[in-house]
Amino acid sequence: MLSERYNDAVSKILVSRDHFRPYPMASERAGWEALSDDVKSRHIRRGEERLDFEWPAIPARMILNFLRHGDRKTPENMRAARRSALADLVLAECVESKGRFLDDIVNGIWCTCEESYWGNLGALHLQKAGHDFPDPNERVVDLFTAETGAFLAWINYLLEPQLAEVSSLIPDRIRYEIETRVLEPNRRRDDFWWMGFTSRKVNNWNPWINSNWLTCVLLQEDGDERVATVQKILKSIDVFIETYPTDGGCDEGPGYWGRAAASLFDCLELLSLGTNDTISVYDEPLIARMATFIYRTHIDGNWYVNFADASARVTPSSYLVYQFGKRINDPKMQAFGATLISNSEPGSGETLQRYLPQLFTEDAGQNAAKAIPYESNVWLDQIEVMCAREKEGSPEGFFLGAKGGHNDESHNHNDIGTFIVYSDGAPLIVDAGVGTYTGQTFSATRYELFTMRSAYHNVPTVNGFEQEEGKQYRANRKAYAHSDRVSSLTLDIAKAYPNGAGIASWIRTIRLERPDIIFINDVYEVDEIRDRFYLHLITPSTVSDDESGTLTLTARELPGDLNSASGKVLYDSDRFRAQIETIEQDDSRLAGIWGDALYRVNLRAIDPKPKDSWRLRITR
Amino acid sequence: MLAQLHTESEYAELLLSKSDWHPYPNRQDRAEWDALPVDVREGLIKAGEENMGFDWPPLPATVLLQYARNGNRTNYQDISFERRRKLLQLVLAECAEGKGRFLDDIVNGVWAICEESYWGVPAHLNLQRAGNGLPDTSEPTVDLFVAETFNLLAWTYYLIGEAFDDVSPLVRPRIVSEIDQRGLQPLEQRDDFWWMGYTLERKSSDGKVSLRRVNNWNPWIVSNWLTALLLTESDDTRRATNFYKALVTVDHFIDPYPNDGGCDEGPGYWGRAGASLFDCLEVVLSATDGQVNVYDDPKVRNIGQYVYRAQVAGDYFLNFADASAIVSHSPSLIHRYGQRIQDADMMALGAWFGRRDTGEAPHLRDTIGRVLPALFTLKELEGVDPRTPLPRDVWLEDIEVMTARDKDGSSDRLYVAVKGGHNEESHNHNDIGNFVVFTDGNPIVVDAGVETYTAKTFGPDRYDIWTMVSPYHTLLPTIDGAEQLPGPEYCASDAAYRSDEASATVTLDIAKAYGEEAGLDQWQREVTLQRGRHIEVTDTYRLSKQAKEITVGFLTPCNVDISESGTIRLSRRTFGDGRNSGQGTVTYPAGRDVTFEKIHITDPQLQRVWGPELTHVVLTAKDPGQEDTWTYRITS
Repeated sequence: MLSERYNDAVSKILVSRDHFRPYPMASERAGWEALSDDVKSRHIRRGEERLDFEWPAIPARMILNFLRHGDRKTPENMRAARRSALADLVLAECVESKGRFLDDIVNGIWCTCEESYWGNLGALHLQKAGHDFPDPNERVVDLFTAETGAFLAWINYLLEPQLAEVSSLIPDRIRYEIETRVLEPNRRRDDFWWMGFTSRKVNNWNPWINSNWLTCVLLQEDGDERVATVQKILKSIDVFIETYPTDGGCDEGPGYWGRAAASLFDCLELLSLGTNDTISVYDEPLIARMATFIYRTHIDGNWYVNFADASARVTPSSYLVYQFGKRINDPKMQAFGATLISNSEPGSGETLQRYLPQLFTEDAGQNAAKAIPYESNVWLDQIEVMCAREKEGSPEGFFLGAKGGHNDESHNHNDIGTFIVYSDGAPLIVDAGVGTYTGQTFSATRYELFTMRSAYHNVPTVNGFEQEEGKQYRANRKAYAHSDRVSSLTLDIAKAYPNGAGIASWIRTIRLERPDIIFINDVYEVDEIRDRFYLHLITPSTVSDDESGTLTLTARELPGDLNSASGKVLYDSDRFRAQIETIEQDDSRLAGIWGDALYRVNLRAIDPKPKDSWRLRITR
Repeated sequence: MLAQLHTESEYAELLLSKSDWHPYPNRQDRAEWDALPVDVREGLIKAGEENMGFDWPPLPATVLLQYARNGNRTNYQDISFERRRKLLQLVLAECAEGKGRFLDDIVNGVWAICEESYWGVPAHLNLQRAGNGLPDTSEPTVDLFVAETFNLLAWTYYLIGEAFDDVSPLVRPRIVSEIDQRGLQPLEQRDDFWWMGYTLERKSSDGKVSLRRVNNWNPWIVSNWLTALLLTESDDTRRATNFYKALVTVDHFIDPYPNDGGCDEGPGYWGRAGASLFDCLEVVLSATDGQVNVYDDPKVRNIGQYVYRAQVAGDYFLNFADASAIVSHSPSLIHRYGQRIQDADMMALGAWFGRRDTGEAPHLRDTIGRVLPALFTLKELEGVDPRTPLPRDVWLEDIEVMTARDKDGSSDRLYVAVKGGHNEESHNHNDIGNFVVFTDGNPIVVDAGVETYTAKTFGPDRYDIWTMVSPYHTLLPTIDGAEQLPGPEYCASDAAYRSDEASATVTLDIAKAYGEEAGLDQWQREVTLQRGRHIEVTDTYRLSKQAKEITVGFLTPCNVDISESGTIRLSRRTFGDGRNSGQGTVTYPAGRDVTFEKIHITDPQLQRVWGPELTHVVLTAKDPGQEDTWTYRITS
């Protein structure tokens, strides 16, 4: 899409390094002085809190803990603490411009430059030496290597003369580190999988890294290299766009939308800035569909449809959503973004890269019309996700999400045929999501984690078999129907299970019958009964079973002043016996969403037949 | 010297390859480590245990910048050196025990050090083109502590060896790569680090171009260079080329070194001058499988023997220039140097230092390249009877230093040391004609030495520091405000020395140590020790013009009594740490105004030696004759 249209023109349309001035540098006082007093005092306050900051060490011991025990969170937290302190100091200095924060900024830059590796330890499979210590002789570019490169590039852009005043070697050092860790390896190599030039499918890494790589190029590279690298980046981004599901669906879930479609948006905005608005593909329907995914999978509040490794609660970049909506000319998305903006503190949690456009925009969205779409008829036919709700435009009543797809999606869970139910915007039947990333999350033993297994999704276990991972494990014969009264998804999930399960067909229908009944129908045929059959349900609500066909789910408090929902699940007590178990949540990421427990209901089929059908009914 | 012994290609033949060079037992050689004396082994292990789980303190940029901003060099050095000391202790503990308990912490330390932008100290960043401030990582320069660090890492690499791979196979490549980038490559590619001695051209006033002498930096860095090269480089061609370059480089230290072996930086620096040369020679001997041995060379012998020739008594050593008067040397090194040159006196001094060192964990206080030979020669050292040689007469004719005492082998009664030389010695003080006096092994007339180093110490304002200038050196005249000046042309002339059973005498003319404004035609100083009686100082001078006033002075750690005209009584003062000054009297010519001022010592470096105060005695001659002879007599 991009390289086809623009590659030949890049050398003509690309702004030179010295003319690339998208935002005021700290020395251009007018731009910074013009910020509102609120914004200025907030940044000075945040900077003051960081004065004399003690930069936490990231010792080799943490690498060893990762290699031995899978703990990647601790070093990532240390790194994040360093980055966020540095960002606070930089913005404070830009706003105040008295030099008060410079020494601390220099300390932050210096220790960042001394880090052996800027990336995630979990990403070191990129190096030839594999999963180990970072190899000093092979620089690899992962998400946070590129993030750090762009971060330092922006800092140098904003403060170069001030940093040079402390020592001219600081800007030099920044450039040297960016060159050796980001630009040089990316220039020379085509084999980083995320680039899209190998046979491996790309995911959010592609636009995320490309956006940061592009920043490094625009701020640092010059001449022929600048042109050639931008051309290479366009080719790389194209691989992402052109292999993206044509329905605009993010198979990694809405939590990753912020680094998939939203990072693509970052790329497009940078390209626009770097070519005086010449590069623009916002009129492409696919780009618009990628954008709108974020509100089409929104349930209510911070709750989003969270299949795969997405968290159930997501906080998208509010200004980015608003701005993306403007670019694609979608009033619903603008109104959604404006709503998000009104609910968040500006700039909190944003990278410098995303914050700068917001800081210096002429329209920060504060005065735009606010509304949440609450779409009731969403069917993403490529990633096979359905979203339906009782009332269009309102969170009241039932929300039903369901998915087909296959078991080799990016950040895959074995979850074909699963569904989630929310009631009045609160979770009732859920997908747990994913725990804190560890060494295991992306390893050969990924599917030993409960969050990945089908037995912990809202799907059956058949003849003792769970679903398996791999592209051949998929849903077939999908049918989506929508009318005023009914929204339903029908799919055959037989092929989601290994042959040993002996399934000839397993037609599941997941249906919302307005106003307020949800049916799960399974019509199946297996070759013989060899082992147990279950229907699994995961819920954050407490469960009681009257043993005569009614599971009562009772609302429970969840972290962040939220509640789960109440409701009933009706089953045929002649044919199922319910077991209820508590899944303790000691993982901080899951516990932050679901509290200290989730509950699993295992409806065990009594005397199942090889060919039969059964039904669950969910009501309020 | 060394580069002349063999051609480069001959050396290439003589040099052992990396896999064949096994200078000391490594961690895998359990028998040797297990054979260490139990208390020594346990001491090493205990020190390691105390460092388990050590959090390596950060080295922020602003601490690095302190030197450029306000001259403070110690804040950074303290942190940097602590990191290295901890690593050394952990490595030795692991070798001593061999169970792998310390490996994680070693890796932690190695990694932290490998991440440092710079291994040297900020005071030495003037080596880089960007000058003082922050280090330029794109221009790695090699100073003393970059070299010490790559030496430590090279030994760590050698000693821990394969055991690193159990933690991660990428630790050893990281070490090798950092040593290469920060050490071996710049040393291979560049000739312009001043300490290498390739670029120290100097034009004297008569237009003659000569090479300025390099100082202790040269052998100190070369010893580390040789070690790191031979321990980590596996390519035989590169080993040989760089080995030869290192020998050419250290020749720049050896060749112009005075034949008398005198260390013009003072005995405190001998530990990094002569002793580091010994380190170099030991590596050369070992890495050529014993085939390159220069220990019978007279200069090499003299360089070693200087260490005991400069001993005053006990812990006190001659401290001309920036040397400290209290010096402690590596017992093992002195002993081993003595062994190599077959000098029983020197071996005995090594043993004496060894017995004297009763502090905790002596093996952990030295640099690792000296700890290893020390550990594996402990028994030999124990077999030597400790003794301080204290030769009666020493005359180092090249650096023009005389020392004389009443009796050979004894510090009883009088000791005097005098220096001539010039005012561009390494770590120079303006001190031509200076002398110090001890009685019964205790100081009465002294050279203060040097304060804790700051940016000023080696900056353009060096000679604004009182310890550097002639008025604070013994009885050096200031003529109407004119002091001695720094520079090679400011020197002693016509030095002569004689000694016999009854006396020892040095004479020198110090007139050339002054600029023209002093108007000195001649200032001949004769210092004689009449053994068993007194020291007599006779100054015979001639001025080209009449002066209004000549002052001379001296520093003393004693209590001073000037009440009696013509005599200054110096009485015993205790320093508060068990030491005390000596006592004696100084008589002076008639007609002098005598005053004294107490100098309160706050600098820790000086305080360690002199306690809280020194006294500066000043004698003023008003309207002195245009020529005259002044005589002073010092008795105990």
